[in-house]
Amino acid sequence: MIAEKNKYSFRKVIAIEDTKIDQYIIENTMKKCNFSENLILFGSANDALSHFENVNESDEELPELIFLDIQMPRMNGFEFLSTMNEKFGRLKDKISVVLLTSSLDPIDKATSNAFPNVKLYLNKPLNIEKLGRVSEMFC
Amino acid sequence: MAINNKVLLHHLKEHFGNSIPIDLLPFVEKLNDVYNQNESSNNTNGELVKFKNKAKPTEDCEKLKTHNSLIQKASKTGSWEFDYPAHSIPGHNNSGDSHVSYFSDEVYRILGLEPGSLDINKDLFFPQLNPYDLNLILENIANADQKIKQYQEEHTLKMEDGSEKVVLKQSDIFFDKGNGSPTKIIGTLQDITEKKKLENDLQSTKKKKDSILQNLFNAYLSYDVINNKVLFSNLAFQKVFEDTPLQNKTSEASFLSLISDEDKTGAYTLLRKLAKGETATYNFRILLNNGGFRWLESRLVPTLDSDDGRLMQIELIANDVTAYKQADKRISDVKNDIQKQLFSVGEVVMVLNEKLQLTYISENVTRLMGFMPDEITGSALQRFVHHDDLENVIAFYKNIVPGNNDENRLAYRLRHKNGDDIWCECAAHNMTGNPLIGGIINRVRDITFFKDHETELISAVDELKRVNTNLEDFVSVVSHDLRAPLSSMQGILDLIDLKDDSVQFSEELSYLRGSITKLDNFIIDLLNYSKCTKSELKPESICLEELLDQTTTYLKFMNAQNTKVQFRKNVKNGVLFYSDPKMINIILNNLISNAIRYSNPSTAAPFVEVKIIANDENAQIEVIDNGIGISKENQEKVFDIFYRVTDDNNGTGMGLHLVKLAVEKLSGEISLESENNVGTKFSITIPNMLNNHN
Repeated sequence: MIAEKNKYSFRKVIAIEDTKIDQYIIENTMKKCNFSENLILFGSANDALSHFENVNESDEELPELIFLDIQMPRMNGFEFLSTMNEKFGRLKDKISVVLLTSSLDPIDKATSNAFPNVKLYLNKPLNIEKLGRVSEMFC
Repeated sequence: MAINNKVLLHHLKEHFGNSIPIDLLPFVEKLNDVYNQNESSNNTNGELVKFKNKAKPTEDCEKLKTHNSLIQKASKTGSWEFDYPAHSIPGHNNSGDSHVSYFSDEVYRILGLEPGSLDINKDLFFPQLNPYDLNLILENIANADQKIKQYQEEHTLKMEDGSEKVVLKQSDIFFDKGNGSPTKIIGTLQDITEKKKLENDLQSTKKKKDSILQNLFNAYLSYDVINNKVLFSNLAFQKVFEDTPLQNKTSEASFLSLISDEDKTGAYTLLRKLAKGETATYNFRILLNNGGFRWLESRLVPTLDSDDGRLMQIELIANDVTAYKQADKRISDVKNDIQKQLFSVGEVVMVLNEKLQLTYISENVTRLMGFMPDEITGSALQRFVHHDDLENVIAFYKNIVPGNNDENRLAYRLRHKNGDDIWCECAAHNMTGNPLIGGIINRVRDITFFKDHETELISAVDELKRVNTNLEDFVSVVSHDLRAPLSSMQGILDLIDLKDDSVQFSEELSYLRGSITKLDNFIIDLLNYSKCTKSELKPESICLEELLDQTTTYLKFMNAQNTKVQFRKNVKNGVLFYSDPKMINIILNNLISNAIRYSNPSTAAPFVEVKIIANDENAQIEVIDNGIGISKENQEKVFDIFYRVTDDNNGTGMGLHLVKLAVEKLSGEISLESENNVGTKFSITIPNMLNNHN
């Protein structure tokens, strides 16, 4: 059981990503390096919000990390963060956020600084080396 | 008439010998008649007749001699007689000498001698002649053979005291009735020295006068009215004929035909004036060949006959004033032009009283508003002002007080007679205090054209701004949307790498990866390009060292395979530095990545060094490498857009162009030194925008 536990860097991770191909990359890269025991993928920010509305606030239920895309239709990454902090303010200390984006716009980077629970800003594509940096940071 | 009375002939012979003085001839002829009459009426009493006739001629002769002598003295004319030389008489021996047979007293005096003081001979007369004149006289005497009966000579005499006398000698030659040969010369000798002197004086005075007139700058013409002929005209007068049909052709009088018809009409009045003896001025035009005119300004001076007061002569003095006339005309043309211009494009002048009624309005208002000045004089200005502008207009004129010389301007709309709105700019001065004006001077200019274009211009600028904003958005959105699928492709490639059986495709995959990297670099450069050309600068307080660290970290991450290039930094940066970090990022990023990309593979220790020294004024940045270098001919071109020195696949041809744009955007300067296979040094100066920022 202990060996099983050590196999994964994280117990539960959520990724919010609208494009199928990037979902595929996230899922398979994480799988390759045993990044998380449990990965939940949401195709939109709204789906993720609904998930939090229904979730039990026990530590087991909550994810340790959220990988969040910025550029998404209807609700973008920053709008999600605002709504999340507003609706589930008590969660913001418990869940760290990693922004995963193809944007090079410095404004995006600067905006991300406004959210304290954003711990890391990563440029796409996600790969094993980048996941390694995340693991180093949190474990 | 021959003298035939024998008694008379006898007496004459007693008194005069063989020759009777020529001046006595008429008298002798009369005597001849008297003798003949006496003889025929008193034939029986011959003695008485003889007695009577014997006493009377002697008495008369004496009387004649006295009279004659007086006449000769008074007229300074002597008489003489000269016997022809015997040898010249055909058939005669050459034995005898010619000799002077008679000199009157006056001849002696003219020669400067006492009358009768010397014996008469040819030597007395000839030596006093000029040698030149002597020849002439001898020639004349010789010519007498050819039956010349009369001749005149003028010559000079040399007096003993050295002075000269001019004499006129008039000679009559007498011929023998029988053989026709010349017998004697009888003549007069007149002293004309004084007359000659006066003549000479007169001549030289006249010459002087003529010379002055001749060389006078003004044209001069002396005209004899009675005989209708020109007495004198000078050189300048000839210029009147230049370029006319009469040039070098006809007499001066014909110039009258050249006077233009318009000016001929004035001639009648002119002549009447002259006939009264008044001096007159006459300006007239001479018609030229080319259809033009020569303007002459003349002054005419009449001379009237002292007896009957008739106009005898006119002197005309004229100046060519064509140039003045032309200049005059040009000035008046220009004046007209200016006036025309003023009225065609100029301002409309209105004078307003305190109720803003139009007390005066200039003619050109018709062009502006369609009204005749009379139509609207007395009306209130408000009647023509656009409703929306009325309040402003009233307030504007209320504020214009006397004595304020500032230009007060307001643009508002006036209504044209046809109902159109005309945008006007009005400049107003209060001149109520000026009795000539007594109101507000309002100068009105039509600016409808500018107003129309102003609106157009504003909307054009708005449109451009909008398009520009859209374009910037467009570039960043497109760039992002292009990058997102690219990064996905990269991600998939990374996943393929992780598969065990990927080895068989490794070459193909590496090409694919190269293309993706190149496309991604190009998109990044495009994004930067739009930043450099379009965005406004956003200066902020920056730490140059931090910016450099970020760049190198990022580059290390992106160029993991090139880590053998050693990075050195040398930063002296203790001041507050203001600049746009995006621009500095573009500069550092491109220069350092170039240094890494073009490192020299044959160098043992490739490096790139960045030196930064910043102060209150500026920052000096140097990027130095020991890479492959840039050849001289390429150094000029490397900053051009899309210029690529090598065939390196990853270059976009935009890197150094972006650097240059960014440096220029920051008002900085960039220069480069490089040598092939030795290395390259870029030196950049960027101003500290601290002052601009505050």
